Amino acid sequence: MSRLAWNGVSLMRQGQKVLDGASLTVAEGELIGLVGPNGAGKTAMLRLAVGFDKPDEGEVRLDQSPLAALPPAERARRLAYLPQQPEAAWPITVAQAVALGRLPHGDRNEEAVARALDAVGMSEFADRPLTRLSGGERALVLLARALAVEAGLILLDEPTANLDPAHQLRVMEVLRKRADHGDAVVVVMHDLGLATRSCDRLAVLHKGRIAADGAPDAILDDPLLRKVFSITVARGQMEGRPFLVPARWVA
Amino acid sequence: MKSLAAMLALLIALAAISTGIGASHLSPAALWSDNHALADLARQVVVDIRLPRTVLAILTGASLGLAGAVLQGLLRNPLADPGIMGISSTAALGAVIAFYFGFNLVVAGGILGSLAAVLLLVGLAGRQAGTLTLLLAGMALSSLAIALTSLALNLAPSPMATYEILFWLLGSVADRSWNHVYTALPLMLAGWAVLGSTGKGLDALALGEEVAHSLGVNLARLRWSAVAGTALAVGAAVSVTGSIGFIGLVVPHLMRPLVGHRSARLLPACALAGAILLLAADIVIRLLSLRVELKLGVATALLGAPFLLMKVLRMRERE
Repeated sequence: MSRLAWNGVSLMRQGQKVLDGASLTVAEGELIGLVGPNGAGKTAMLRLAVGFDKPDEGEVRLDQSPLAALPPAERARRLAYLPQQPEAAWPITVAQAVALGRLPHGDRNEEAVARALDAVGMSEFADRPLTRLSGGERALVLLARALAVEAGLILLDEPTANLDPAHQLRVMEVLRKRADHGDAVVVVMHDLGLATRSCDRLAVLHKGRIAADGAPDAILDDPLLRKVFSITVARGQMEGRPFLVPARWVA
Repeated sequence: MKSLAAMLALLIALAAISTGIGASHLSPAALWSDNHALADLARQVVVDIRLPRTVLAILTGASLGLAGAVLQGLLRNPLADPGIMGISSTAALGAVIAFYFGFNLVVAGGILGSLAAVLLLVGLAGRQAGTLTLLLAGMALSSLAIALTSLALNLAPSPMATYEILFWLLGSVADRSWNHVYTALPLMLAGWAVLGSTGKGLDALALGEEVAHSLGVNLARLRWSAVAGTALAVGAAVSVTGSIGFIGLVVPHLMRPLVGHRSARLLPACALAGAILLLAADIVIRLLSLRVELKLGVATALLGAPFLLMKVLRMRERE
């Protein structure tokens, strides 16, 4: 079942077209990587889906109904969002930060908070101030905050940026598990190798449009990588899945 | 809850002390004296002079503490205080302009000034204003109000008027009547209600505006609730007391380590602590036997500035 759909969305910002008729559909149980070079419009796509910006053309549909028609609280219960590197303004504890995910439900469901902390393996940190964690630990806690909404649809903007390899793998493993449990997950990322290995499907954004959409090994061919990312890659197989490593940049 | 109860007890104790001290050495016990003349005098002194002063100190302190906590939460910045949005200075300007038309209009002038501040902020920053735009608009408004207040002083009809305005601007709860309380109280209560409604939104803002929005918080409404609530509560306070600074800045700093960061606890704690701090300061200036009684606004500034200096030094150590 389709949880989220961008139908031909366009967005203008300061006279420039950030998105230009992009369409993408996300179904239950899918882990989708949204990839593309800097400035391709990846963050803009997510912000439209959260209702932070409104499309100039096209529309976003959440559970088949127009997003714009949904009350904010209802939208917040059905869609969790993790923006790029949110900073904590105050030294709130890990448990308090994760409990914010329950705000749309108007409860302080301790079990949901505990489940979310457990899912990212941070239960022991519950009483620590968020500001005293390492970057990797903080990223996991903020991910738990998004999981605590238990929306069944999670959008994440570069959750693996600035993380060491172990934390990158931990984050992707958590997202994999959520998708296997039936959640729809959309994750913006830059690491094509990690994206190819972890995601069921990749959507490639290029100049505000979806340039390709499908299984990673089917769509990331050499001409596309050259045209969209300006790179050539080296390819291999690992644990039965294809992976690639950027080799050279090309003009 | 324990710390809130302890603070409430402290406030009640301070209120009892505050009604027991003053220019005349009269104890509130005289209220129940068999001597009718003494009981009458005591009623005048305690009920009509000391009590309104005490009540105003509590209401003003609570308004400043609460507004400070809300604005710091909204701007995610520990340096924000009710002065930063230009509301205190515009209220003061309104009151100063009213001075020219007679003392009775001062309160109305202050309240009109603070409401004008909200309208000007909406006009300047727009209904959907971002936090930074709102902050800049507030600072611009504040500078303008201060400049116009100086102009009013400059053009004052007589040196006596200048002197009176200046003295009023220093901020005080001395020589206030029940009329002052009755005028300010409804507006303050309305302001507290609006400020109190921001709690959940402020909690979500701890992780940034995008997270708050994704959790269903209406950011534009949250911002304007904070501004309008501050205008009502602090505008009404400034109108009857003049400018009293630093309470809104200092109180949330003291309370966050004590009661934590959740608004449900932080906001009532800051209201209580603001009331305690201002009432305590007002008691101290009455107990100090100086040639002239210190103005409350001067006392809070003298206490608040070193607090800020200490913060700076501690921050430098950490860097």
